[in-house]
Amino acid sequence: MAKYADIIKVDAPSSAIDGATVIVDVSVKNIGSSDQNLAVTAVFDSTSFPFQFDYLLVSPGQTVIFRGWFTMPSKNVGITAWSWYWDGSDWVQDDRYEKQISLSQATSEFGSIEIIRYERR
Amino acid sequence: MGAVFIPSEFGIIFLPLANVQVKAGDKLRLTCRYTHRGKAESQPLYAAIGKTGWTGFDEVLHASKTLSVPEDASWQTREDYVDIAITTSISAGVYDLYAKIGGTFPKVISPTLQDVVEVTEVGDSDFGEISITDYAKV
Repeated sequence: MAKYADIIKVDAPSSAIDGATVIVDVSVKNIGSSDQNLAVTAVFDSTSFPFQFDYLLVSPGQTVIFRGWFTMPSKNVGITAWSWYWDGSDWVQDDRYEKQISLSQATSEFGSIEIIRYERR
Repeated sequence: MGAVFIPSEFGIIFLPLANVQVKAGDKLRLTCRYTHRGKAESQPLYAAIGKTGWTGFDEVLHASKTLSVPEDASWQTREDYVDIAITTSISAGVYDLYAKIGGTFPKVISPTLQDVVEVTEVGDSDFGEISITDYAKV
């Protein structure tokens, strides 16, 4: 359970083709009773990827969206996002969310065809 | 009786095929097996009756339908059929069959099945016999 920076959802495609830019929107709600500086970091597999904002000052009850992106590799990946809050001297990791993104096919091909039956109707 | 030659690990297999007899008004259903991988797409499944000659396949009757294949992460084998309506535009005789997927530039073409369709003439109108089955005062 998050203390301040509650990740309420992560919007990302369930599949993407090799080389596509995958957009990841992490919605974070300040569930504290005072303004908080909140941040998000994330990785796909073990590789970190950037977000539009390093951190945002968020009012109590307000939800903000941190948008990140990465280039889809030629395999299925798991993304993990973490939320953070600033306690006045350090960033403290607060919440965590995981999601799978599968590799989809960019091309289509037919390998063979054969007539296996023919009958009068 | 037609036949198809199929390559195998033991050489070439000679597979005899049964004829099917059709006449005008019938439909000939061709069931095809094909393989696909990759993204989902739609393509025509096309089949034709005709004669194989030195210039290629001379089509007489054909039909097509749209195949919609889902995304396949690896090679998948699927089956579908197409019905060719037999009309009076085909004359009596023995014909060949082939099928393909794709339009003007086919993605795959089947081996031709030779001499497997026998088109028969619809005979002239004949009455065979007559008998009285009932009689009553009216």
